[in-house]
Amino acid sequence: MGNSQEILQQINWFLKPVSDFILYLFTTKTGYLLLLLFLILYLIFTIYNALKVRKIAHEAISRNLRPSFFERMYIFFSELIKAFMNIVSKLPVLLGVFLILFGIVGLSNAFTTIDDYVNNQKRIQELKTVVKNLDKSYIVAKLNIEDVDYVNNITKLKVYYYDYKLDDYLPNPQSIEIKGHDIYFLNYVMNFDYSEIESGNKVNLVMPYKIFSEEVAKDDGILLQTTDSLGIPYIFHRDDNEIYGIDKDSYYSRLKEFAEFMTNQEKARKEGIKSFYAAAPHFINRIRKGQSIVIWVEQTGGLVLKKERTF
Amino acid sequence: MPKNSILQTNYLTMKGKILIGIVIIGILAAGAYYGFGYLTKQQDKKIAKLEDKINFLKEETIPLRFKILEKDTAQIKFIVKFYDQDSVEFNTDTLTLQGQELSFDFDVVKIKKGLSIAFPTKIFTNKIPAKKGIILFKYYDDHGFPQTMSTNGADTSYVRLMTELFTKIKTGNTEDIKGIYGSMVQDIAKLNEFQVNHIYKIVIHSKGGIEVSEDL
Repeated sequence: MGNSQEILQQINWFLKPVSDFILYLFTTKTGYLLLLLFLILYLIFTIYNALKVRKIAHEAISRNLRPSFFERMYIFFSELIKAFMNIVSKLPVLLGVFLILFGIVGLSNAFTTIDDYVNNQKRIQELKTVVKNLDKSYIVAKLNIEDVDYVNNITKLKVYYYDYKLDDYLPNPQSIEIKGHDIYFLNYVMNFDYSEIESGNKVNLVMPYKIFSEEVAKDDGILLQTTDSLGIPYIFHRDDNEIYGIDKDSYYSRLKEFAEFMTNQEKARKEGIKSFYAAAPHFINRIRKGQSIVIWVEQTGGLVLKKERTF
Repeated sequence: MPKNSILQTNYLTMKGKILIGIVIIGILAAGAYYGFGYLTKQQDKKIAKLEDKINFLKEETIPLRFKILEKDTAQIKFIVKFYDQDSVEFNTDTLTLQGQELSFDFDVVKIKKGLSIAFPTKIFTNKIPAKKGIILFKYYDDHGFPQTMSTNGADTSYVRLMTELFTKIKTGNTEDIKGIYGSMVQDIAKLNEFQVNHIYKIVIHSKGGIEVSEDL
């Protein structure tokens, strides 16, 4: 497709100016004036030539002999009529020429339209990728409500962290028991600029940190176990396909950089990080035993919470 | 047949072939022009639709901004300002809370596919549990209508929907609001704290995400 488009562009490189000139001649006032000027010049030269020939013929007979005024008028009108008759007699040829000229215009327009079509197709693909990247959401974790004791105001839950390498929740959840029933799931959130997200170069990052509730202040909350044996947060585990444009080793070295961004705001801004803060989505309606609540990170920024769909 | 006649016939046949060739090229060019022209117009509509979708995904509203006035190991003093959907400031207050990290809590409601709105509910800190935080409804309760959602050109159904949602949220009767959830944002002590005399904004994204960042 790319090669065909290039060939068409190359052909159109010389067809387009010719086409533009033809259109200029036949569709603009200046063009009509130019054509009229050519016709007048053609008639002037034709008549002048006939008069000159007749004058030379007279001079050949006698040096003092000149064509009379009436003779010159006769030659003028006869040449004028002859020129028009000549044009009329050559109409089929002229029509053929016009056909070719407008064929060039048509061909050039067709090539331009095809070129626009191919370029639009590319733009659509780009925009689709942008929409896809912006519209993406990634699961952070799932909270399974194990028990809600409204009498003693205690909630028991299990936190399942999502591992993108496994493409599933980790099998061993963290069990939590906390006072209260409005459970705040606190995370560190790092949002990148739209331009970084649109291109698919970066994904917004989230690191679960703590759980607290309407009864328990953040400082008294429960720390979440969110890292693997190497200390890498599960949320950063990615399948090879999910590691955009870099190999796995480079990806993990990038994680170290991210850690640096947390403490170096200037560097973070240069890398396209637009915000770094803590966010805690929480389920405000009455929670019930057996409910599953999923935390998502949105690529447009921030976290959202949804009840897990069950069959 | 005389040689001249044969040559003339061949010449005419060749002219005919050239003419047919030109006509075919012309028809093909016209077909390509109109065919691809039609497809290009369809593509333009698709492009406009995708660009609208991108703009919609990037849509943000800022219901409040705040500035830290004083901060020490015990408490934070800050000024908070409220804005409507047209970015017009309509209320402000100066508050002091025990703690070092400031938390802004919202109720997020999905009002249609892909569009969520957020109501500021309370402010608390790392030392104060959410239950004991400062309730924010009084700052934007305009005779039952949430002023943070006020916008020019709002119709009656919009006003009714917002008032109804706000009433339920204020009274805690949110059980029948499908998909409602809370969303709190705060700074991170030692890593990325809210700085004294810096202005911060809270951004609500169309998909329901909430972000807090410095208002540069």
